[in-house]
Amino acid sequence: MHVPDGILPLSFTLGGWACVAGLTALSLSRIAARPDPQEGLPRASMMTAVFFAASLIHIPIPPGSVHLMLSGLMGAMLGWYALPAILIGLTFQAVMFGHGGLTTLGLNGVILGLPALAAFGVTRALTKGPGSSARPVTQALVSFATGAGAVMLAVALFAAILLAGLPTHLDAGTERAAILALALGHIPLALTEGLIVVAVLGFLRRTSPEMIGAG
Amino acid sequence: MQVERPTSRSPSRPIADPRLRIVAVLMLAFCFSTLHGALPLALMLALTLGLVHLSGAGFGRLMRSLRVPGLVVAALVALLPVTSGDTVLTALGPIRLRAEGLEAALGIALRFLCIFALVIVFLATLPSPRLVAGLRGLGLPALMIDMALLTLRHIEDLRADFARREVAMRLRGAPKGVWRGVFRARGWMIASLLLHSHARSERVWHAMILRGHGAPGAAPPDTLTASRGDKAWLAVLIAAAALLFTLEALS
Repeated sequence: MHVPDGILPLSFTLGGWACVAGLTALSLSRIAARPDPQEGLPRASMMTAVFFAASLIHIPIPPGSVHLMLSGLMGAMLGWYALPAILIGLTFQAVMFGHGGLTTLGLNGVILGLPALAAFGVTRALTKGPGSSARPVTQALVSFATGAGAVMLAVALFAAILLAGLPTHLDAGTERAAILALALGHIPLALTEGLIVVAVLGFLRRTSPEMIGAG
Repeated sequence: MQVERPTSRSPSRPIADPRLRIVAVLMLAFCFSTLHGALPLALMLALTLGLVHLSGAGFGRLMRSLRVPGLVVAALVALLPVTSGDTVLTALGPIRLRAEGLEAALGIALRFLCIFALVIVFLATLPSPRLVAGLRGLGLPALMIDMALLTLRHIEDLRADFARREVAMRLRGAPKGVWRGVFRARGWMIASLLLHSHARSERVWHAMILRGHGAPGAAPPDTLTASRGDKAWLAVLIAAAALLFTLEALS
């Protein structure tokens, strides 16, 4: 779900860089306000490496397999560190594999970073708010929403940006068909990612709850 | 997945300083992304081919790197000529080839290929620590630099750990059922990998701190100096970008 170079006009790509710069500045200021800003660095680096190598993680969904996107899990585990971590992962992917793009780095950061921040908000509400002692079923449902919701939000952002920025206009019927195809095509990934996030966060809650919601 | 490792013969032409390389590639990439006219697109292609030739990186590497990232572009290039525009050039049964869509698809393909070639030739051939040094030199925040350096340290370990755990899981045999066998087993495997990697990451970070990383008075990172040749090349590329912008505005 990476927008490549060469498709979108300059106003979109520069706008993407401006948006992601603002979001990064916000994230870094929140991190700097923590008692020890470097405390979350090892975890963020480790998750960045996982995000970078996400194409390694195949989940067999007959007749094929899907790769995880991991935005929701990054948000749930890293909090404000998620956005800088995703940007570094995207930069390495663009530079080492040409995966994604350089002019579109900002937009790709928004497409994957905003769902991560949304996932962080949902997880923090559960772990720090009045629902912190929620039942396991509620925690599992929220974890599922975190993983699956992040994928669907990223798909929505990807489709909206791509269709609005194409250099030529598609007719309304083709546009609807493209959006439908994108949404339907990503439902298996959303369900898979939701279930994997349920399993990962369930395991971590039992063994190392401090790993979740670094804030 | 294969990460192409830069070799000791990594191309240093035409610009050796990583900061200037990053600036040059960003400037050219943004310039290329604005081009639509036939002449500017042709000159963009010529400039890219010249730079690929000068860098000595080789076209073989470019073609190998193109396989995965070209999917979205390939889909658009295949769909636009038959779905977008009003001027029908030719019809094959229900499929109509349209001029506007074809023009947009060709432009997208060319811009994508040229920017992709610039990134692979200028940045993918740069050893990762040099790339991070360049980003540091351009003022990326220290926290993100440390995160990038630690990430590079973990990628190989993580890849090896993941492969080992996957083999171990297969040898043990997955539990029955879709939830237990596919999702829970994989999720727990990923979670245990995260726990293990996190512990290692903490150890590495604390070792770096103990060695004086980031402490007041610690040795500063290597300073980068741009040679006259690098500055001259950057000036040439800025002039080329300005020419392309002007031609695009006139076309």
